[in-house]
Amino acid sequence: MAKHPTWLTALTLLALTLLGSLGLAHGEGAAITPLPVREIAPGVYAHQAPVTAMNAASGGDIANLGFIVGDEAVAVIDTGGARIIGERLKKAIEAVTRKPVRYVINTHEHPDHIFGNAAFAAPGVIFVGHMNLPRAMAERGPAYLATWRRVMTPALVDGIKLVPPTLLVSPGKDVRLDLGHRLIDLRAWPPMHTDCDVTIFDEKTATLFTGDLVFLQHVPVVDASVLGWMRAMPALAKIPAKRVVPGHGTVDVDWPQALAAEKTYFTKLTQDLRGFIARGADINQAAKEAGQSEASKWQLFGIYNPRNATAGYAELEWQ
Amino acid sequence: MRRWQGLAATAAIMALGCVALSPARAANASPGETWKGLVDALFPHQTLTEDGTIIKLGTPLSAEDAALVPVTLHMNYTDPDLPLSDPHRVKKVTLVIDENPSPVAAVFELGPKSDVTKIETRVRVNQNTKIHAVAETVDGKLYVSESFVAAAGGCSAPSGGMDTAGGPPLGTIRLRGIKPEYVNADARRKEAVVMIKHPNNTGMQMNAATHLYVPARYIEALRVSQGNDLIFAVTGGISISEDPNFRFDYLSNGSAEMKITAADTKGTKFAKDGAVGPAM
Ligand SMILES: [Zn+2]
Repeated sequence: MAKHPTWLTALTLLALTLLGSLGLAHGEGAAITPLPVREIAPGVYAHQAPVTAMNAASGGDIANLGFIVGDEAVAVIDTGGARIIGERLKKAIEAVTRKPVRYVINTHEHPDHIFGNAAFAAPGVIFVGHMNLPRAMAERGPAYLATWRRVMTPALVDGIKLVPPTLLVSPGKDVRLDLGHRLIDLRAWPPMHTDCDVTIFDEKTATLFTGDLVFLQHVPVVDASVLGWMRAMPALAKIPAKRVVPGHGTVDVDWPQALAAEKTYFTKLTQDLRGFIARGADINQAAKEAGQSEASKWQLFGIYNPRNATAGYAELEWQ
Repeated sequence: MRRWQGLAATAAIMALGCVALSPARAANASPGETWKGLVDALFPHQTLTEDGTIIKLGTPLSAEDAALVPVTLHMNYTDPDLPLSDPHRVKKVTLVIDENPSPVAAVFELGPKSDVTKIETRVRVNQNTKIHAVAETVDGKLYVSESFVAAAGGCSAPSGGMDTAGGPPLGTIRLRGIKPEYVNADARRKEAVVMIKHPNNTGMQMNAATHLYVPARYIEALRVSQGNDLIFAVTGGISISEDPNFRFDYLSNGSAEMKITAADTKGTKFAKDGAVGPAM
């Protein structure tokens, strides 16, 4: 070995360059940068992702993630929109603690929250989610993957695996997980953002991870029921949290004030839709015009508001 | 109102963060091969002519919600005063979603006396696809209108995502008259919406508890009449969205009542007689 130092160095450099050019996609061999996280309360860490659309440039990092460290184990909350994001979150955890990850909790089915799951799949790691989550993953996972292939680079899609939860949470029956002198309370919700939403409450610090039941800056996306969402909001607001981590937007915000913006949006949107339906306007017009007075308050409004208006029109038509 | 442009394309190509079902318009359109095969199967040895004055299909460029894509058919829309016996009058329209698992979404039969010039419904779109509307006129000729929709996953999206707690039971039919100011000046021309509460299961959705596929069960026949005159009849498939919804215009024959009958693939029958007026 010592006889060919130059040759070896060159080879090593070449190997590193190659690995680098793979864009860290496989998470092995290459240096993985830890995902930036902030300790927002003792033992509670959050990653604030940029509010942006999913594409190759945002690289799967568009949803807020986090983890909670107990005396014995770690619970991970969502894993990002690509395997590499999950790998980077794992690095961030390793930089903070040597305790093992015991639970990976998915707040719901959307790919920007669950596509990093494979990075954590290992013996002893329990995946946790809403009782409807396995079905949602099986039904819609393939379409999500196809979409990801269209808008992301192959390297960002390749390592993704659908890892469904085995520990399930049902509405009305909270599940408490013990991380070692640290209890976290998991609650499953009726159809709101999706039909498989789960929130996580850290009792020690009164920190609430809401998943996509709370949107800040990023316009809310309704994938299940706008009326269900509005109806469940008072129960959500009652959770005695001191701070929350929303699914998108600024982390570590006051509670329940964090709900105010989306509540206003839903109120305006549904008022508009009821008006359109009563006057006889059709679903196409509603998609274009309903909720528009809220446009300046939100990012990605032009993309998701028409969808919310379309689905909301169909839902409200039956009221 | 004549809204055949459909939705403006709102979904920028990278608009896929939180909900992957908001699709992007694909850079390359789907190949025409599928359509060729479908024409051979559905309309063998016949010529399909493009003529927007006879049939015009309106769809959004990109599905805001793949399980709920509004589709509008305009028949003879430039000639609402065409005599009812005119050979160019449309009597039947086949709606085809080329890349869906079951491409024929619906076949509409138009009543000879009701002069329907617009039908809007909502369909599921499983992947980027061309959509075709093929109209047959009174003289037996075929005309086609084509559009492209970008979408993903509409056929497997769970039904019942909507909040149904305390909602109307399966089979409930509602008839909604549209106020005259939303219809054109012709006092006899009216517009109405017929909606049926029904999951219209595709066979590609799963039961949450058992994880078994829910068998396909959908509305296969629907008839809407005024008095004894047919307005339109639909033979439907799994591509029609949950809670099938049809908005249409028609020339009133003066009947006070509209009669709606429907049947699903399980053999269950549904019916409603209702006032045609502009009431909600
Ligand atoms: Zn989401």
